[in-house]
Formats: sequence, C-alpha cells, structure tokens
Amino acid sequence: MAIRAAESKRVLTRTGVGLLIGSAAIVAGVTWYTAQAARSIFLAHEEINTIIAGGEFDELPALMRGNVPTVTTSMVYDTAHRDVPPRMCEMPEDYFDTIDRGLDEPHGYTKRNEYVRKYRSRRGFLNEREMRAAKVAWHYFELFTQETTGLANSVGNYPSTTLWDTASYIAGVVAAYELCIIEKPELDKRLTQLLTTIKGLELFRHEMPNKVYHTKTGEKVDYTNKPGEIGFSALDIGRFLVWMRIIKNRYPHLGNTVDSVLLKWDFSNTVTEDGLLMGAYVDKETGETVYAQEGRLGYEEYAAKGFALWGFRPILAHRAEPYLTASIFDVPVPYDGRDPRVFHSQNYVVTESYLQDGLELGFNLPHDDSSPDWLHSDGWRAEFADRIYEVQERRWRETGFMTARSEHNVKGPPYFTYDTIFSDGYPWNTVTPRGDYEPDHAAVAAKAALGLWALWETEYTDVLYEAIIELYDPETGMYEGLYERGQGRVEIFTANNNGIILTALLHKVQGTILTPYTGDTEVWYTAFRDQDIRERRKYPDPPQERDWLPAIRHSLHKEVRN
Amino acid sequence: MSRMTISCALFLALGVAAPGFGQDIANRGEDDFAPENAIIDVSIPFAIGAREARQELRGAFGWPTFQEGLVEGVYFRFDPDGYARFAPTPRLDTDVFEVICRPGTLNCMGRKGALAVYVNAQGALQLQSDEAGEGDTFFIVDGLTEIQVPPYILGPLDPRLEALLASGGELVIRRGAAEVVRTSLIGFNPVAAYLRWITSRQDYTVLPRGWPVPSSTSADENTAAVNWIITRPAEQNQPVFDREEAAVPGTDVTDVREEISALRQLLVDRENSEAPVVGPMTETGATVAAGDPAQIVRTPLEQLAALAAPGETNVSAGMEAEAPTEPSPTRRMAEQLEYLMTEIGLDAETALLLVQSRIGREGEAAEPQVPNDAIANVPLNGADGHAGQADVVREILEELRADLVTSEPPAKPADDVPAEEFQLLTDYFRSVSETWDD
Repeated sequence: MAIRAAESKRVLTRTGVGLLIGSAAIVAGVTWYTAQAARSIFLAHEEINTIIAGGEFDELPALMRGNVPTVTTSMVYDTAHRDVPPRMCEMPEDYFDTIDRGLDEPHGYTKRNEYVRKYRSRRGFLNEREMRAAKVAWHYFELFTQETTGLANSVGNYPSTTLWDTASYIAGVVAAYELCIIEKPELDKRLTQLLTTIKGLELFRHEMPNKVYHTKTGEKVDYTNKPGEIGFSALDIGRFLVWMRIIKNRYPHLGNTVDSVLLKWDFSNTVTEDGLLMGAYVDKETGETVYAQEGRLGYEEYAAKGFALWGFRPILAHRAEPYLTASIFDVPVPYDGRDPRVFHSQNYVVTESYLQDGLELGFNLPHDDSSPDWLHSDGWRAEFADRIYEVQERRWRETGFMTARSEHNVKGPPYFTYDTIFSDGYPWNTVTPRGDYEPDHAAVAAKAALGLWALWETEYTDVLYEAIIELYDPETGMYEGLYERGQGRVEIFTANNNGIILTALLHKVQGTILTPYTGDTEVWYTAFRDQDIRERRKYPDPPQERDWLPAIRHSLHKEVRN
Repeated sequence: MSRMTISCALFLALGVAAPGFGQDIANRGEDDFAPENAIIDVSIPFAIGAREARQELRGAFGWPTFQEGLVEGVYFRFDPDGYARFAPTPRLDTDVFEVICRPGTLNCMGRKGALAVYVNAQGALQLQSDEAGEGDTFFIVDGLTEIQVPPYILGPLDPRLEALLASGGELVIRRGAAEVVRTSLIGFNPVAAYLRWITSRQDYTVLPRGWPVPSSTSADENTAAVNWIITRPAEQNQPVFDREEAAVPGTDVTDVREEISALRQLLVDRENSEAPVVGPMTETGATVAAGDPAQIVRTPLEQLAALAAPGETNVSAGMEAEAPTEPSPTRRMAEQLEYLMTEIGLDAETALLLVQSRIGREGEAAEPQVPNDAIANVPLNGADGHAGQADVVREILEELRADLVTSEPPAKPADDVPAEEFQLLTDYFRSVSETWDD
C-alpha cells in the first residue's frame, strides 16, 4: 500500500511538473506571439516614415526638387521621339530616300488639332549654289563677331546687338556646324565664349538682359549705343530662349553653360500669372521701370513658345485671340485685334515670325518631341502660316510683284522698316518704326524669300529662290533684299538676315531645327532648391502634362486623321 | 519719293548751301542716333495736341521716341534729329513736305518735290527750286486765281512773300508758256514754322501769330486756351533778313501801324513822282532792284493798279483816273484792308491779295466764263472781264489815299498787349466770310 501510495505521489508530482512546464511554454508562446505581432505593427509604421524621395509615394516632393523629367508627347503617347539628324557631311547618300515626308497625307486638322499643311517643306542636300550662299552668309559672322566678347554685330560693323540678333548669330553658328562649314572646336569656342559673355552681362536693373548691348565692350547701352539702359524685350528674350533650348538639346555638353546663363535672370516680371509676356522700359519722367505687355499676333506666340520650352506657361501669349482677319486676294489674313489707337502698339503682319516658328519649332507645341515633320501639333500656327504664304503668292500671280515681306533694315534713314502684308488697316503697308508710309522701301526680303522657299516647296518659291540665292557680296554676306520698285539690292548686311538664311538652308537638310531633349534632370530645374531664389525669380518646375500649352484650332477645316 | 532718295538729294542741296554739308552726309550711318545728333526734345509739343510717342523699334538702334500731331490741317511727325514729315493725310503718304537736318546741327531743310526751303545763315527763310532756270516766271495758284510772284522768290523771303506762300495753293514755275513744275504749298507754313522753331531751339516766340502753342510754363495745362501763350514773332528771335527791303518792321501791333503809315506815305510819295515804275510782277519777270524798300512796298499797289488799269504799266495814271462809284462796298473793302493790316498784322501785300482774292471770286461768280489765267494776266487779257473788279480796286486805293489826309493816326496800343486782343486768323476769316455771305 505504502509503495502504491508513493508511486501515486510520484505520478502526481510528474504530472504537476508537466503541467507547469506546459503552462510556462504556453505563456512563453503567447508572449512571443504577442511580441511578434507588436513588432510587425511597429515595423510597418517605420516603413511609412521612410518613403524614399522621388519614390512611388513621393511625386510632389520630387517635383519640387526638379529632378523629375519634363513630360513630353513621346512619354505620354508612348511613342519614339524624333531622331537627331546627323550633320550634312555625315549623312548617307540615301538619307533623304528614307525620311517620312507625309506626301500622301491630306491637309487639314486632326482630332488633336494638329495640322497637315497643303505644302511640304523642301528636303535634301544643299546644291552648289545653296552651299555657296550658306558660306557667304556665314562669312558675315566671321567678319562681324567681336573677339573681345564673342558677340556679333547686328548690322555690319556697327558694334551693338540685341538678344534677338544674338539668337540669329547662334542660329548661324549651329547651321555652319551642321552644314559642315565649321568643325566642333570652332562651334565650342564660339558658343562657349558667347555664353560666358552673356552670363556676365550686366542686367537691366538686376532683372533681365537689357534690350541692347555694345558688342565690343559688352556694356549695356541705349539706342544710341552709349552706356545706359533701355529696358528689356520679352520677344527678344523669347527668341533667345528658343535657341538656348536648341543648343542644349543638340549639344548636351553645353547644357550646364546654357543653364547657368538663364539662372542669372529674374523672370518674376516677365511672364504674368495670366500667361502674358511683359517687356519693360524706363519711364522718362520718373525713371521707374514700366512693365508693359509685349507682342502681337505672330511674334507673340513664337516668343511664348520660347518661354514654354523652359517650363514657363505663357498661356495667354500663346493664344491667337484677340485676332481679326483681313481679306486680301481672298485670303483671310490674320492680324492682331488689339486696336493700335488704344494700345499704342502696331499690329504688323509679316512673314518672319511664322518662318521662325516653322523652321525652328516645326509649328509644334513645346512639349511635342514625337510628331513627324509634316504634322504640326501647334495646328493653328501652321494653318495661319499657310495663309501668310498664300496671300504672297497670290499677289505675285495677280500683280506680278514678287512678294516675301518682312521687317528689314535699310541703308540710311529710317534704317528699319516694317514691310508688312497688312498693318494699320492697309494691305502691303510699308512703314517706318514711327508709322510713316514708305512704299519705296518695299522689298523682297532675302530671309523671308529663302524661308518661304524652305518651308513651301512650290513653283512660286522657286522664283523667289532664283531672285535671292545669288544676292550676296562674297566679301561680306547676303544682302538684306531686293527692292520691289526696282531700286536694286538693299545694300546692307545684318545678323538677323544671314542667320535666318542659314537656318532656312539647314532646315532643308535636317528639317525642324529643335531636336528632342534626351537627358533626364536639368540644372535649370534643380538649381537653388536650397534657397528662395527659385521662388523670387519665378523659376518654373519641370512641366507635366497638365502644364502643356493647349492645342487650338481657329478654322472649320475637317478632321482628317485620328 | 522715298526718304532715302529725298535725303540724298536734300543733303546734296544742303551741301551746296552750306560748306561741308555734303561731306558730312557721305559719312552718315547708324551713328546718326548718337545723342549729340538729337537737336530736338520731342517731349516739347510743337503745337497743341501733339504728343510724344514711342518708336516701334525691333533693332539695336534708332530714336526711341518721336512727336506726332496735327496743326493747320497738316499732320506731322518728327524725330529728335529733326527729321520730320508734314502731310495732309495721317499716313503722311501724299503731298509730303519732308524736313531733314545735317547731323548734330540746326541746319535743316524742308523739301517737297523740286521745292526746298530752309533758314539761311542770316536767319531768313529761303526758297530753292531744282527746276527753276533763267527767265522762268513764278505764279501762285489757288485753284481759281493765279498771282505772278517775283523771281526773287527763289531767295531769302520777306514776310509778305512768306505769308503769300503760307496762304496755300500751288507754286507754278513757267518757262515761256510751258509749265515747268507745279508744287503744292500745303504744309508750307507749318514747315516754315518748324524750321524756325528748330533754329530757335524750340522757342515758341518764333512761331506765327495765332499758332496753337501750348503753354510752355505748365506742362499739365496744355489744352486750356486761357493758358496759351499767344506769341508775337517780333518779340525775339526775329529772323535777320539779308535783303534790305525785307528788313521791314516786325509784326507787333505798333510796328504794324507804323508799317501801314509808312506804306501810305510811300504811296503818296510815289504818286507825286512822275517817273514810271516797272513793277516786280511784270510779264518779263524783271526783278526789283535790291535795296529799294519803297519799290517793295509799292509792289502790291502796283499789282492792284495793274488790275485797275489793264494794259498799263504806269500805275499812277490808273490810280488817279477813277473816283469811287460805290462807296458802300468800297468802304467795306477798305475796312477789311485796314483790319487785316492793323489788327491781324498782315503786311500790305498779303492783305491786298486776300481782298483781291475775294474780289476775284466775286467777279468770277458774276462772269464764270472768264478763264483763271486771265486773272494773272490782267494787263493783257483781263480788261473786259475785270472792269468792275478794277473799279473796286481803284476805289480801295482812293480810300487809302483819302485816309492819309483825313484819318487820325492810329492810337498807339499799350506796350503790354493782352492776349485777348489777338484773334486766330482762321476765326477772323470765318467771321469775314460770314459777313460777306450775309
């Protein structure tokens, strides 16, 4: 019995120990499970706090740092962006056999308000005559570029220039390189010196570049080329921005230099919240800066696209409205509807701004890096340009006057004329900057003639070509034009004329001059993020799809494509 | 003609007129916009309503501003370097008087077609014509009447010739019976005023009487008539004429009265003389001898007498032949003459021409078949058609002559003549016209 009782006690003891151990194990397990659960919860919270900048949940902060790419059509529509064409001397012989010219595409608007023009641009290698003209035009810049600053004179040996004409000089340099007239060392030397000078220019009241600079000294000057300041021109700056973008996209090794130039400027008063472009001048009485809307139909939109290429959103400046049309030879010629008597600014209709849009930007919107050359995403600009071309051809057919009108310089007073298709209520109005009617200064402008020839491959532009292609002084450059009333050549040489002629010739070889940006982040968008400079100077963020300038149409053309 | 073409021709002409001018022009260029070439402050209005405006400059050089306005029915624009255009249309595209200046100087010249006008070294307005030759005759035509003017019109102008040219119409140059050139005189007066204004460094006092000049003392009150400074050219900057006969007294009221007194005295003296006088407006174009002021002031009277006595060259005979037959209209004419000379300040010739012009129109209204040419060629062709007109003119002369004896000398006005005493010429003509229409 006693043995049985002792054995029973041992069993109970073992059972109790077992239960104790089991309970301890359960407690430990529960504790471990609870700890694991708590850990998992706390660890999950830590992951939210450690979102990586620019990551999936960090879109806005990344944009604020500027290191997201600019959104273009090739990204949104998932298409390939346009190719960067090779230099002429590097093109295979069959290069032009392979390019898409859209010859079978009917003209008109697409559903996206893109536009297919009635005519196609000329494409091909330069022939001997064209190459000679290109070399002569380049010779102007060889002669009149100042060694001290790298700036080129606007007019012959007169040592002053504007940003507009400096852009024409850059056009000349780019064309000379792409047409194999100069090689890369000279391209780099010229552009680097020029950009360095521009970066160091004294700005108009610490804001934007003065309207005029002395090319020998780089001093800001007034209209008499004496030290002083005038104000700034939004149109000139807009054209300059177009060429800054062209350089940066074509030659990425110059990108930082380009950015550093623009990062010196204060854009706070240049593009308004409404998207208007503002120029500035000095009030004669008070000496204060006066900001005034600048630009009329034609130039205004071209300049607006220059700003948009750098992320600004000049949405109103890019719109055609308010505009009216004047029927000339049954062509509805568009002109700016703002009354000159009210706004004290003339509404000149000339060829030049349309040519520059077509040659440099392909009548495309700034965010378009993918449409072919024959399709123009800024549709109404291309359509209006067609009208500008047509009315000039019709004048030639109906009156016999060869017509390629633009603003141009003349030798002697008044030195400059607006040789317009329409202005101040009159067709074919040739006026001085103060408005005097000067029909004797009407001329076939060389830059307009060759620009039309490059963008419109027609019988009429063949005639213009014959009139202009040998209109040069081999020692100096291309003449400004040919007087309409038979007084001979406009015997003056300018940077703008020679630069645009080189652009037109380059367009024949390469098509649209602006090429897509192939990099990612740009210093232009990332600089000064640690300071308030970006905010004060109104530097923009990389434009996204919502920032695109809208594609508009202004006519009743039928849609022809999807 | 383009500004460029005109400029070349103009400066060549100025080069002849002023030594070194042509040489300067050859060197013209973009440097023309240098500050030292700005001779005018375009913020100072040339006339009421003119405004400074901004040039639409796209290039790197030029004048940033200019001035534009309208005066005497003529639109104008001018730059700081003095370059100006005057034309009757706002586009300044037709019938343009163009003014261009030698860079950096006050030597400026106005030009329209072959006609050029400038202020010479002596300060007198001077006319030139590229088309004029030896023996040419000169006429001023206003559409209905034609007045022959002396050949010395191509030279320094005396105030009467200047006033005659300023009255408008066209200057016609004839060689024999053939017309060489015809130039509109629209804008002549504003251009003349502008040239003087430049020469005097934008002094309002050289502008013509009645010129709508804004107050120079208050820039903010440039349209209130009560603040206008009505200028009297005689006060200062009176041009110095290099022709003795042109050195007539100024056009101050006192001077005008003295002038008319002298005129009357000369008339009496001349009538007492037996020697025949060859007038400056004879068909042969014979000129008046320089330095003979009596001859100058007699000229309009001789012309008038020629109208009165067709075919005669001896004015005295004609003047003494007739007595007034219709006192009432004659008296009115005399009053008009008196008023024009004393109150308005016109010289005798201009006043007579204005009255004569009115008479001519009335005469033509009575006999519209008479050709216009007959008026200018009165001594040969106008005898019958203008008998009544000649009578009226004789009556005027008689009235003047009688006034010399009977009338009291005009009261000498106070030295400080109030502005209210002056009347705009246009207002006066309007009142005269209304009177006659009645």
